Amino acid sequence: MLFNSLTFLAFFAIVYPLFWALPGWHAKKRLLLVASYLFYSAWNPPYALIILASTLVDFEIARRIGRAETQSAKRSLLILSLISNLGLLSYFKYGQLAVDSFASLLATVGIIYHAPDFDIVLPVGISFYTFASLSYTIDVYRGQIRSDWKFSDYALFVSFFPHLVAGPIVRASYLLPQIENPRMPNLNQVGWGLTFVAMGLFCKVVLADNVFAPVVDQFYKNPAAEGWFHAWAGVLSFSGQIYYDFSGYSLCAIGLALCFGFYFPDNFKHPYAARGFSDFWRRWHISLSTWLRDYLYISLGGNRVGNFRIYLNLMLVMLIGGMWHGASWMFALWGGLHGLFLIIERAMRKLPESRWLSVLAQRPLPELATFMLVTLAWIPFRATSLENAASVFGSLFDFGAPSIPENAQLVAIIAMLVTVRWHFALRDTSLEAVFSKLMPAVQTLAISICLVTLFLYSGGDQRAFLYFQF
Amino acid sequence: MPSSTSSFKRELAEQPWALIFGAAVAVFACFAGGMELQLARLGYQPTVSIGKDHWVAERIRANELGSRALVIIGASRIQLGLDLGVLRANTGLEPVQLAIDASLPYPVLAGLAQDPAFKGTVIVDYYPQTTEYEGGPGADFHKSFEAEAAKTYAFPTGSTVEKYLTRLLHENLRVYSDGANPWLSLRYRIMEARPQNQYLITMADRSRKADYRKVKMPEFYHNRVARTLGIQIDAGGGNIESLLRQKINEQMPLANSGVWQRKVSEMRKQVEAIRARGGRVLFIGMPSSGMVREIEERRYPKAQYWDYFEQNIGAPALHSNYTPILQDFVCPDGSHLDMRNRAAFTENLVRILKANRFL
Repeated sequence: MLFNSLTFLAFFAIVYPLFWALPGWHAKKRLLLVASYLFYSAWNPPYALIILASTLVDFEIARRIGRAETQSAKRSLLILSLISNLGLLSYFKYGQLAVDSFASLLATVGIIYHAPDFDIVLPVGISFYTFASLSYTIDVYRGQIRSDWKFSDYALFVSFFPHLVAGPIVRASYLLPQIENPRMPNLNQVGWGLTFVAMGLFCKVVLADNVFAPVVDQFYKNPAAEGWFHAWAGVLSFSGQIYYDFSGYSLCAIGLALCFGFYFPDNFKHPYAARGFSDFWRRWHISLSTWLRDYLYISLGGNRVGNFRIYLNLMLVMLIGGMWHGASWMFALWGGLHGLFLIIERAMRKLPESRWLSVLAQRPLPELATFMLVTLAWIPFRATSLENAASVFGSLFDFGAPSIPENAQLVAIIAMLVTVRWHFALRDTSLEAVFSKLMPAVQTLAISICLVTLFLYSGGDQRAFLYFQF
Repeated sequence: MPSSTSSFKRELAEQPWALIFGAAVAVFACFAGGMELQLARLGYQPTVSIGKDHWVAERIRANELGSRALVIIGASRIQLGLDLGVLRANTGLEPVQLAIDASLPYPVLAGLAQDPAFKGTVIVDYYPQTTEYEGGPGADFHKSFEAEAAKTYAFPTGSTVEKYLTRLLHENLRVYSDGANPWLSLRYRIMEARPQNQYLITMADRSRKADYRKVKMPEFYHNRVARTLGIQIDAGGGNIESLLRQKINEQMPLANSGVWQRKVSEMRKQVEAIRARGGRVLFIGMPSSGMVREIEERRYPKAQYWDYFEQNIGAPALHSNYTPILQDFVCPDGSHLDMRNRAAFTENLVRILKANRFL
């Protein structure tokens, strides 16, 4: 069920009054649990059983870890949880890629092997809920969270519909205490929640789908046939599309959770004003980057090891982060590029002070350089193949070919420039801080614009949220 | 402790939300209601959504009807030209309109031929000039039908509910009429200096009715001719008629390539597959008039194209332009019948099909 669908509107219109009407926190939680499973089942009913199975397994493993008396027993149980979660993820997400890659490998040595067709539908949001669930067993293992939660509370944590299919990856240590303690949203939370939802939908439907996506789709279909201006418009537009698509979804999720009285963490903090790549990853898909940092990078030794190991760990984490997005080596390439950027950035920090370096560090040069490199790194992320990506790069710098700007491209480029300027201006503040400072008339105008434009762009084909596929 | 997400607390300053949302919803209601009222004033009516979902539902119905199904495939000419009520009354069969605007019939015909569950009669709206091309919306629609037919469970999913709600909305609001969205309605129907009239209505059975009294002639006709020629014109400008005439005079017969003949023999196999299951296939050339007809006849001379097709397709084929009781129907835009002629045309068509024992 997409947040920008009529079905979700009907779903929310039924669930939300019921949530208010039901007496007692216990009944409200039961309603949210049933509603969350219904929300997931709306896509493919049998696949709700996969979440249920994953929930049961991790709940039981965490309970046993909590009771285990020896460290080795705890470690064995944690390994079991890792195998079950990552095994599930690998089977559904990477099975086809694994057999195809194996067949390609054999072909290089002259062995022809026809890989079987997996023909398996990838469960929506599996990457998000397995990571959320894994955070629980790891935190229990590390002694950072208790293991005696009620099963129904744990099941609601895993399946709570605002974050279920595309994040943010909310950790058990963060959401379970909120679920356990009775809460009722106040009018202020509902007002903010609905504002976030309206703005999130505006980002997704108006900006991502209608301003940026058409320019991106047109260009990436046949990049070799497009001139340099079209190429830059397409590449810059993808930076806009993916940002507004995913941050819009995250904002909707945060807003919906707030309507029910739950706090979700921010997932984006003006990433296109990042000063370097480590800063970028503190601002982009924060729930994933912090997950990878806390559960993978630190487990690999973090910054406590030698330089070479740090570089290796950075690369490994970014490659895994890339592959998390999908079963394609193009995502690995994207992750690898970011790993490389992070390594270079870290190495540069160790260089002795010089005039050149201090000039290069003057604002806004590092921010603009980061933005441009991030934008170029999105090319393998969006491209369908290595050839497609090479063709995109080729078009970007083919200044000899004529390239006449089209209105849609000009609008997208202006929207992207405004976005970057907006990120620079609000780099160290939050949406709620900015919105709070506006006069009520301007706040009303902003929400009215969101509602009216959502109406204007309603009724066409809905594009699935890009991050659903991950 | 994991550092970033375990101690998050959002600072939310108090705002006058009742006032803000009350006013925002009022603005939205005024805007949406105002658009709806303005479209009503301009004479627009809500219409059925004619997208993929509706087509897939009708395609499923075609299978459910068994040998009673009278499936119509093709493009806008047959979608506007046949009256399904007249067909039903005069044939005893249940018509299923599967024509898709601006599409080719081949993927749909191929799908029907490959589908063992389909056992009905097919009327194909056929044009020799399109046979060299493949795919189009028909292939996409058919793929969706196959996905829907392959579903193993019958309980409603979110997609079923979404289709129902979308249909409900589209069939009751003018801003969505004729498949538009509110933005297109605003841009082309309300803000346009010379707003287009709603001359085309889509019926619940997927057939469409065109009222050419509502369009501005001869500009509309000239635009259609230009579209057939593949050129762009300023329909309001002068000397359009002579420019179009000059372009038409340049039209030469197109080469009858082997690709086209292979396509005909491929279609013949599809016809045989449907016949083998007890079904029937008829090919109908819908009428064209004036300059559009002239362009078609210059590019695709009857002897070279239609006659070859008729002799080699292995099924009844009848072209309205060359059939006495059908050839006098005039298409106001050169390409489509007006709603006032569709019943009479359908009656004559059925009469001649029956007289030849094609039906």
